[in-house]
Amino acid sequence: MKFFSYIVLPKEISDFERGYLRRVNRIALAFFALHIPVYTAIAWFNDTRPALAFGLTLLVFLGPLVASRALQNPRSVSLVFGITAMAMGGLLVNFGRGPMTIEMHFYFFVLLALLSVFGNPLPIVVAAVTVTLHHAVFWALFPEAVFNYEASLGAVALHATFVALESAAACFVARSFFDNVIGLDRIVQARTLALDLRNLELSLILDNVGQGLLTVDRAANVPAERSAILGSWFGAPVPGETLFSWVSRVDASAGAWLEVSWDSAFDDILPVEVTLDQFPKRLRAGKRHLELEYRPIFSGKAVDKLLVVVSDVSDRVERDEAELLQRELLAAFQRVLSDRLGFLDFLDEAARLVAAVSNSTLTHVERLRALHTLKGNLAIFGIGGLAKHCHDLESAVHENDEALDPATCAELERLWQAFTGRLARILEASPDGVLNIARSEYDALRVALRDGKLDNMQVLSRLDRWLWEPVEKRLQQMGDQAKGLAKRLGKGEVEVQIAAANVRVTGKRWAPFWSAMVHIIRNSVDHAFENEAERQKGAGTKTPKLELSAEERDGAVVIIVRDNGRGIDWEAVRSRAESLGLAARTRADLEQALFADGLSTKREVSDVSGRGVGMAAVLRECQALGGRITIESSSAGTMFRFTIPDRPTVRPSSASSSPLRTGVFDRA
Amino acid sequence: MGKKVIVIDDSQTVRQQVGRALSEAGFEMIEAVDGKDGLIAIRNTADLAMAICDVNMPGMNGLDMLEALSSSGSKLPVLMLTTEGQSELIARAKKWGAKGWIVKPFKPEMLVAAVKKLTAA
Repeated sequence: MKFFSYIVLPKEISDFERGYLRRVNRIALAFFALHIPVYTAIAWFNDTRPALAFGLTLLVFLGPLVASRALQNPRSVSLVFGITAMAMGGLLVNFGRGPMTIEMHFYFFVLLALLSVFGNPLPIVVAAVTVTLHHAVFWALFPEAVFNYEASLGAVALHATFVALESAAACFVARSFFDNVIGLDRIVQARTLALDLRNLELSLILDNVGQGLLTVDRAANVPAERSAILGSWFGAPVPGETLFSWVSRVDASAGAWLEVSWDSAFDDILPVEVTLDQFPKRLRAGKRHLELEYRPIFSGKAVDKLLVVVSDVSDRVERDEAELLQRELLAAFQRVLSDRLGFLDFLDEAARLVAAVSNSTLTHVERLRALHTLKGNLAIFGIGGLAKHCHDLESAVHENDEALDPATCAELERLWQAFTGRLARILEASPDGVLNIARSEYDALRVALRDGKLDNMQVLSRLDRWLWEPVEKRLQQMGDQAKGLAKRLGKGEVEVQIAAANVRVTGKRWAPFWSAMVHIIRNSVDHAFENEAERQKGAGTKTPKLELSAEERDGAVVIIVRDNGRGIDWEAVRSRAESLGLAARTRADLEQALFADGLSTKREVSDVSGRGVGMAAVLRECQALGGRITIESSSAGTMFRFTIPDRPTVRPSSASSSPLRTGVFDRA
Repeated sequence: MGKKVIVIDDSQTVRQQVGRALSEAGFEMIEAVDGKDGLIAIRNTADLAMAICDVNMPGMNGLDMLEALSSSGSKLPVLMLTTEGQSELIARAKKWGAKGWIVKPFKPEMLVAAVKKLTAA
């Protein structure tokens, strides 16, 4: 019965309703208590037995008084008030009898309306029923108590109609009050519960997602709703801590950058995509690499909050770094296999350059040049990671001169050490523990043994030789240098022929000599061969050729460098020598002069030659090995022959104190 | 003709990059090589819409130029170019009224969007 469930409220009384009804019931009690003196006064003024008025009013008042003490259910107390109200109405009509009897009836209608304050249709219904019964009974028994004139049935019916209408309206108001005000509390509770549930689900998501999510407003306080994982990355935030100070715990510069840029995302001066693009994107949290993304959350047109997404990309970064290292190592390995000597030379030079960069006694310009060269060399040899580090360092120095501070240099050295450390294994992979022997060497020994041509000592000596360094590699290096140089100087393609005949020499002793030989190569390529311009002028069309050979003769090793260029210009040598105050009479003089410090027939000093220092180094190293130089030169070409004794019995240290110029040069 | 924008940077590469990005977007470019140069150019150029200025420059740097500009009461919008991690410098730039900043190396589309917005008023 929908009518029934409308009039009668659902059983459950919420705390809100209880509290409300307690208040209202108390007010109602006070209201009716006031009736006692008021009715007594009215009766006294009206001369309608005030004592009786006092007594009856008090009696009626006792009803709700007792009810409010005795009844537990506050709604029941409200019901009693409904009856009380009507009873009071009757009393007023009675004791207010006189010229305004009709007007006294207004009380009923006022109270009927007021009863809706209980938020309950039932007191109103009860009141309406009460008043109807009251009227029925009194009209039947004491008509003059109700009406002060002969009331027709129509008049009564009219009264009843008004009562009914008003009761219905009041019930509507009361029920609406219950549903929407008292009931509101229940609705709010239900909604809050639903919200809590949703927050719980959200927390579950936030805490189980691998990324750190949080929404932050302009004030940048760390919100309570955030992914749990952020706590493990940054530590638990202090209440009221800003995002900046939280981030600064692990990465101070990123935190500072975030703080200084933060407002710009909310102020609409630059487009928000631009401002967010300037925010820090990477963080270091201890060993972790964290990546940050920002998304604006709008409220209307303005940015209200930022969604910050923090991701742990350590794995990816590690993988990228490992891949880079692998590639470097691979490049190094390839080099070591194909050109071990060249690679070792590169390592030596690079180590020197690293030291130069850190060397604060050098000028800033010199250190920068060392850095630049180092970068270039590293790039050539495929050491990408270190090359990039140098490149970044160069850029930093370009922006800010202070960048070459001790800490940065120490970092560079550390990285270099790490690199050479990794290389140690590679270098061992083609170690000196493994011998490289040409097939022809092996065959030669075998045949000699088979034919009984060698005694034990000779066999031993041959085997020992296999420990020595093959000259062929060095000659190849020189050939490569020649080719590269020729290209750079515009001399065209140089044909290089190498004939090394499995000659081997003791490694360490000869190293400085090979270093110096580069000057002979440079000289040949630079002086002997024509460049493009000269070739066009002259008629010479012969292909530049360079022969590099090594042979063993009479217990000595002979290295020959022969080119088919235009030959040494002895006249130029003579005039240069004379201007330097050197002896320039005989051919021998001139040959000596050729190797003197400071001599160069080149007018300009180029990066390549012309300084006059290189040839002197050649002479020095050849002497150091106890060797002699022979020069042959004509318009058909130039030949340098280096005859160097290289038996194990020769003690290297004595060579440096060998007699100076005499005896070094042989006439061909 | 488009709106005039001045770029102040000691690196020719940067001036070129900025110039190219903005001229393609229809702006007319003026260049200056340091702060002092920039101030003179700003004073002598009529209808300048905004300035783009590097923070680190030899001679008078970007911050000093900004200070000089704002002390002289100029309302010219200035956008700073900076490298990563220079928070103290940016804080000072903010104090002296820079409208914003962009970190080098910059993305052309970001620069164009910023300039368009700052010159739209």
